[in-house]
Amino acid sequence: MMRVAAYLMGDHPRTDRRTGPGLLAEVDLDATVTGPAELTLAGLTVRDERGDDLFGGAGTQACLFGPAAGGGPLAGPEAEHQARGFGVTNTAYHAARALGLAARLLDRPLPPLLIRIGPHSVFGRGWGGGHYRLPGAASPPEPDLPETGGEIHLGTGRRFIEDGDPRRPRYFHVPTHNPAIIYHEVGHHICRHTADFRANRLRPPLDQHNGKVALDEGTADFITAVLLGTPDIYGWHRGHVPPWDPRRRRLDARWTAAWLCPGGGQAHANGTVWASALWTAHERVRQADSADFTRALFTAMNRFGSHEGEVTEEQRRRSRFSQLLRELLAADPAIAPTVTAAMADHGILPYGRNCELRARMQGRSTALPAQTADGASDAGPAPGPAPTPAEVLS
Amino acid sequence: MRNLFTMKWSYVTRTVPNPGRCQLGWPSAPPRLGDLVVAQVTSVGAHEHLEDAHGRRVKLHPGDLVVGACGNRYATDFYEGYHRPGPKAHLLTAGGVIGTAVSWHTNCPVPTELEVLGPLTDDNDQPVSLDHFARPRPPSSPQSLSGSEPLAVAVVGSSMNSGKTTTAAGLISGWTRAGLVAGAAKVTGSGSGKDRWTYIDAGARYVVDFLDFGMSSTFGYPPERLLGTMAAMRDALIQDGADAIVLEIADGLLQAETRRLIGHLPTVCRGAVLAVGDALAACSGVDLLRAAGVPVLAVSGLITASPLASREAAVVTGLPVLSPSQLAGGAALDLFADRVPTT
Repeated sequence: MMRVAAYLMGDHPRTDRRTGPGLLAEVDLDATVTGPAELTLAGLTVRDERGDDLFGGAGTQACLFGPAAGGGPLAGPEAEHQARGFGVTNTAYHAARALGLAARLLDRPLPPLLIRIGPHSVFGRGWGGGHYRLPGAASPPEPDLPETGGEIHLGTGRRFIEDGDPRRPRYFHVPTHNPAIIYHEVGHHICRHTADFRANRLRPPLDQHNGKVALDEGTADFITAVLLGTPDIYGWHRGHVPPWDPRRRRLDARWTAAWLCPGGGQAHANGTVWASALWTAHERVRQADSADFTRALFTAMNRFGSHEGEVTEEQRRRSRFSQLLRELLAADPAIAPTVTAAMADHGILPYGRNCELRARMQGRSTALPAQTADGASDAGPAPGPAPTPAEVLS
Repeated sequence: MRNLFTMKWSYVTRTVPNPGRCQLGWPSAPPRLGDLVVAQVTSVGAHEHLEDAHGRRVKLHPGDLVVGACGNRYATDFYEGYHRPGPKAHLLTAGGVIGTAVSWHTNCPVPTELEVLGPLTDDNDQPVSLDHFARPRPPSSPQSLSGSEPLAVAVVGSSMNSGKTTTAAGLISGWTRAGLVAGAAKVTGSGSGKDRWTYIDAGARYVVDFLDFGMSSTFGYPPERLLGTMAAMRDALIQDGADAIVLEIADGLLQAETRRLIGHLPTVCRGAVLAVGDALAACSGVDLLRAAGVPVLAVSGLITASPLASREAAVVTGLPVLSPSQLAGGAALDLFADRVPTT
């Protein structure tokens, strides 16, 4: 067990945007230093790959670094050293917390996760986000084969947090300091090993599909909101984006299926529709009887991804909001009426393709697809080629 | 005296606060650099348009009356021109610099000809000069304002049209995208709004140029004044609230005033980005800057249109060769890093 510094969320007050996304605190972490810039925990390894010896001077009992306002190109070497060290411990703390939640709700640990910081870091091309990678084709291509269980890659930052007053100290937005980005990416790892939206379990281990559908992005955002304790998951680094702007991705806005956009590259925006519906259901269930909606979701995701079948057909099925909703309603019948009503407020019904949900919500179609005995829609899956982006709506 | 209500006020008059209270006066003493004059278009040549104080291109016709400022011009791809008091003159820039062209590039048409009618005078019948409206020098040095070294970078070039302003715009865009407040200064050059608008379009929140410091064109002003103005521009932008500043110096490194200025760059900024058109210019330009003690941060400019030439330049200079879009995409921020960049 070692003492590390991290930003705390949840019940703790969110602090000023210039000083960080949460309350700076010391916490205990069951971690071991396993490299110059690497921490290892049960089922988790976090490594900064920019070549610094971050932990050379640290003892086995404590790795206490200061956030140093994110460090960054304008910071001096010592501030950058502190910021990088804090990034590793903060990432380890929050990733472990997310994995712990998953293990508790699933009653099993997820496969080991490797988090690499700065693997794509080159001069002049800072990266302010993260991505989750499996072995297989990816854009941009991965120079090294990712771990079969999955890897998270975090960028090293490319901009400062904006709050409108240039005369106050700036915080360099580095993803390792931002629990929202860490939780979102761990959320993809949880999705991969539960709902498995791309049916990767049915694919060869070294030919995994790295694309994300709306359900994947939206579920990861919802998990982020649960762990942060707020629906304004990106409020720290996107606070300059108006709350009504889709780029803010606030989950307490009533995004409905009418907002679904066909075509590629819309997984995050379309995912917000799913995420905001989950958040509405989560809040209504909590207010009604304090049952654990998140546990029901994890159970549903586990069942959703356990189906056997032909890969293309499973990918099509697992891209549909209605399919996962049906699994969610079955996971905990006691909360099904509340969940059904909440999801319907967002235009998400337990049957119909995503494009049908959109058409209905946009008023272009009032007819609901007829439901068959097994719960499938008449307009549901049909044999044939893989879905087009317009069909998948993600 | 004639009413100037219908006159065409050129860009160099943009700092005049009350144009409506000015008039055409009687010539008394010969006008000096920076003095505003009223002239009539006698023949439309290379400049068929005048840029007005708001940046609009105004069509010129013979007989039009224009208000401009006396000045020189040093432009290897355009005119070499000087302020020579007298009734005959040329329009040296679309922005309203008035002087006499003595040589020009073979691709350049003959200049638009003017007849100088007299000085622009104020309501006390005194000649109006841009110097009257020069911005006061900021009272504090930047170190005392912020407590740290200012984030300022100069952009210099091997020649006219080597891509300096596009490079500066790339820096501005990159800083703005990174969440910094960008400021831009056109340190030297001839009165024209083109560069100012480019800076603003790239995201600069604060912009100054030599017009703000009383000069219609910097060619021919004493070097001491230009050196003081360069520092004052940087200080003014910091005082305005800029986090990161680009100082663009016109013309090529061999231009006499530019050579004087680069010797003082280490006192006003962290280093320079060199805009060039080819690898040989990059090589010699970097040598010139290093000999003057200027840290060269990167090479940019027209050369970046050619990947092959860019690689040549990177090999001979040992510096990153960055296109304006690369600067805008993140490299502009990394130029400030103290650490050795990884490539």
